[in-house]
Amino acid sequence: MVVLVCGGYGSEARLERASQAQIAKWYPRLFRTALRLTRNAEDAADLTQQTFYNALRNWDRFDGGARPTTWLHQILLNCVRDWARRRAVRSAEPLHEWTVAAAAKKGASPLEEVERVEQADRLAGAINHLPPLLRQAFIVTVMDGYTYQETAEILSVPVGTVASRVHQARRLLMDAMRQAFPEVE
Amino acid sequence: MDADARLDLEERLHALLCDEPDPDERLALLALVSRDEGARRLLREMLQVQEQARAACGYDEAADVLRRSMESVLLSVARAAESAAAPDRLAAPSPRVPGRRTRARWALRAAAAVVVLASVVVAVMAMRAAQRIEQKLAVMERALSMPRLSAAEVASYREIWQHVVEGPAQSRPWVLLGEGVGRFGYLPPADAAGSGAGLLLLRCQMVTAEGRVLETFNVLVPPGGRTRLSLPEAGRLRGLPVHCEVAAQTRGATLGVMVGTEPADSVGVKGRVRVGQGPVDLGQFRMDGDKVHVIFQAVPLAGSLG
Repeated sequence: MVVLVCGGYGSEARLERASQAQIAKWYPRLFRTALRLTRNAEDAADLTQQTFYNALRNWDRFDGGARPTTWLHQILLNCVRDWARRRAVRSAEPLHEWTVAAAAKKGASPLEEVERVEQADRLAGAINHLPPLLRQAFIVTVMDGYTYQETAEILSVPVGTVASRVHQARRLLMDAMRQAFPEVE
Repeated sequence: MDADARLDLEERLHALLCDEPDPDERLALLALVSRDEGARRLLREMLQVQEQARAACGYDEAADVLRRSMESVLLSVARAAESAAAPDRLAAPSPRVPGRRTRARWALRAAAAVVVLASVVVAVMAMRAAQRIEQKLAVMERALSMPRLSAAEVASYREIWQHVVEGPAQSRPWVLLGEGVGRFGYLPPADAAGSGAGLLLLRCQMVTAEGRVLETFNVLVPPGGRTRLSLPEAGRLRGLPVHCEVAAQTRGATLGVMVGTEPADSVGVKGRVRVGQGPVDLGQFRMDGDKVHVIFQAVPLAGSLG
């Protein structure tokens, strides 16, 4: 059997045949993390694929002590670090240096496009200006798409702390969005 | 909703957006969202923040790359599974039963192909699950955004009710008001048990998936006790008669609607709501290729009738 994934968690973890549904569920989360770290979609795709191939080849090393996504996340971070070393650039640059690359929207007028980019820029700015702990929880949970439990493991904090931080971050961003996006209720 | 309950609900709704809950939890959450305006508002807010934040940071532009790259991995995994399921080519078949081994090998390959195909289908379904939930909620949101009762409308109902309630003493009337339809009558004595002041409005609307109202009819009944009414041709939907059965008690009301001329060709929906609850989507049926949602609401028009 080539492909194995973990069907359980914790002490009851067990290996089962691959579930493509699970891979399809986990893949976007890891891709978004890679995209955030590399800021390049093609590099993110390469690194996410590499993460899955590495994980599937080495699944017998997964001891079931954490959630599979947490383990995959760790493998991805290792892949990103290697990638960064190879490219001789700093890995995991902070998000506040993120350049919003808002592609032109089909059918939008130049004025609409300028407004859209401006709004996106303001919201990205609001995310960047969140307090660091709130921003960290918000990005991993809401933007990358990990569950609260997975985020708690990734950030090594209790689930309740994740819930509280994400809630606060969302409140702050909703306020910012009400200014940036007037149609938001 | 207190702070802890809100955090807990946020966590559960986020798990729903991550496509994580088991089927029971998923159904429970969807049911909650469909009946609870607060939960709906929270989910809408969470979706808005997520979508706008991802768009602002350029995640949307990478969606195609994400899809292609994931398909590539899934295809590789499927191929690996297929090759692993195939028997070793070097293993020579038994000379005494060659036919059975060959058949078994092909059966194994066919089974593996079916498994792979099913897995791909499941994967695609999982990918689209969050999107579907969002779309359904959007439809539900539109369908449930019924116009609120205006004061003038309530006054009008009271006035109509005042006229019929002055009928026979001790009687309990009912009134049907629709587009071009107005009927009233009195409940039989067996159903006239119970008492209560005020008025109960049972409102049924049939709307398209886009929220366009196709038909509306209202039934006014006295509150309290038990009310059971069968109302043939309570309205019309695209030229076909709408038959209706309503039952109301102190805390809940049931509506059954059937559209069509012949029972065999009719379509319908039945469901129950709590009195005082907001509009509820009881279900849907197809008519002329369009989905028609049946929205039902039981509104106590409090106060005496005077």
